[in-house]
Amino acid sequence: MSETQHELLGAYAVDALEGAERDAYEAHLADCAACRDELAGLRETLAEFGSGFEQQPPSGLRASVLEAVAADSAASRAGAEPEGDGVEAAGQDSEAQGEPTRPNTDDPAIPDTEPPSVVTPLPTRADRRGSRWGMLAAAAIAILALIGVTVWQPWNPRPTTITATDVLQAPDAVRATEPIPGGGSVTLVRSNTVGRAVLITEAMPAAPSGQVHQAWLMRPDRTLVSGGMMAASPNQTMLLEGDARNIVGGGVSLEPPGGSQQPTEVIVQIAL
Amino acid sequence: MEEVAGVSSSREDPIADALLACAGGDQAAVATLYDLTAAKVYGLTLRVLRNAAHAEEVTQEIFVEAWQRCGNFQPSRGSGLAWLLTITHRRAVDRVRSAQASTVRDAAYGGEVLATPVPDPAEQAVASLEARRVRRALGGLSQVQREAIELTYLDGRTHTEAANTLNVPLGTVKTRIRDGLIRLRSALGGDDHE
Repeated sequence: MSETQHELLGAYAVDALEGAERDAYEAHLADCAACRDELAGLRETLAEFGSGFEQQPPSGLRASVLEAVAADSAASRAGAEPEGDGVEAAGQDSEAQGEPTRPNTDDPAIPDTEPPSVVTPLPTRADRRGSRWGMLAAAAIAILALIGVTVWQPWNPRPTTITATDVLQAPDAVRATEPIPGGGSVTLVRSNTVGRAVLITEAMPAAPSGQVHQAWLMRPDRTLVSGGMMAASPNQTMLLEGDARNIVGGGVSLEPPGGSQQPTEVIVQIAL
Repeated sequence: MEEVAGVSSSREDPIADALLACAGGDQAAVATLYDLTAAKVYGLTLRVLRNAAHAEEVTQEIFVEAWQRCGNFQPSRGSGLAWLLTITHRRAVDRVRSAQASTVRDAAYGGEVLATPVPDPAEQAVASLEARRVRRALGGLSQVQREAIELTYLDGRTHTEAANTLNVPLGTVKTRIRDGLIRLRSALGGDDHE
């Protein structure tokens, strides 16, 4: 490691860096196992130190925290903060109790009858809200309904194929959201049991003319591997190609048509 | 490579257990996490922000963030408390820097701190024990190291601001912070589980 970067470790640990300097140091940390180890030690020390300022919080705070977490949980399970019908569908159980159970072998987010070529957003009628898959599936339907079917092409409708829903519903799914400079946001969801990751974009700005968006997975050794080419849609839910077990992040880049082996211009990175 | 030497994932760490339960989607674990850590999270936030209303707001944001990010917590890489207080400090400092722009913080200093509820005596005794340890640890630093740690970690200043305040070169501040942290580590009794 360079002496300069090493000197910054203390300042970084006490959050005395900001902006570009903080970003640069974090990039350095990604490459420097010795710094990460030392930082972990300093964080233990600072946790001891920082614990010395204990104060009982106001009594009402506990309830508001738990309420905020419940609200966030409902929103995040419904994906990238859906609005309108999506929220409603995510928060409600279907009235369609007692319907015959459909085996959960194919993508439960694909409605019973409509072919996956339908372009209009799916209806959110109560009978489609699918209590049989529980609230998570209802939430997934809500997201996909909002997104529309055009963006579903990346995955294959065969029953044995892993779908984005499998990842989103996995009990071990972890997710992180990053704003995209220039607008919108992107959420990365990974499940180690499913072994795949999903990228959800919301209001992603269109790629400049002559360029396309490519998705990337960041392996634990910080190498980037392609997660596939993205559709030209601001709002999409994409099952990423490739083994996503233990990935530590992902990203989106701008590439020439057809994509690249290594990212050309990364527009957003998400750390898990 | 990723492991911190000597930190065993099997040692007792109820905060880590709560975080792992959160990662499994157990919302009730947030209540456990809150009960285990709220006084520390709120206390540190209040120390940095010096404004009870802001501290309360930021504490809530911190627990929501902990819930969102608990899937990233890896017990092999450190304690649950270190993970949570890292988030806590970052959030508090970010708020200080946005509040500074509107000078809310300086105007509010003092009055609102006094307005915080008085903890009950038993809790206060525990808290003051911790506080004594921390005071002692801080007392073990040289004057310039203590200033550097107080300005940055406790007041949320950047190292550039600290250098300006102390009227010393930036490199000097970096060194003081770093040396101060190393001395804090030994003063706090090797509790970094080495």
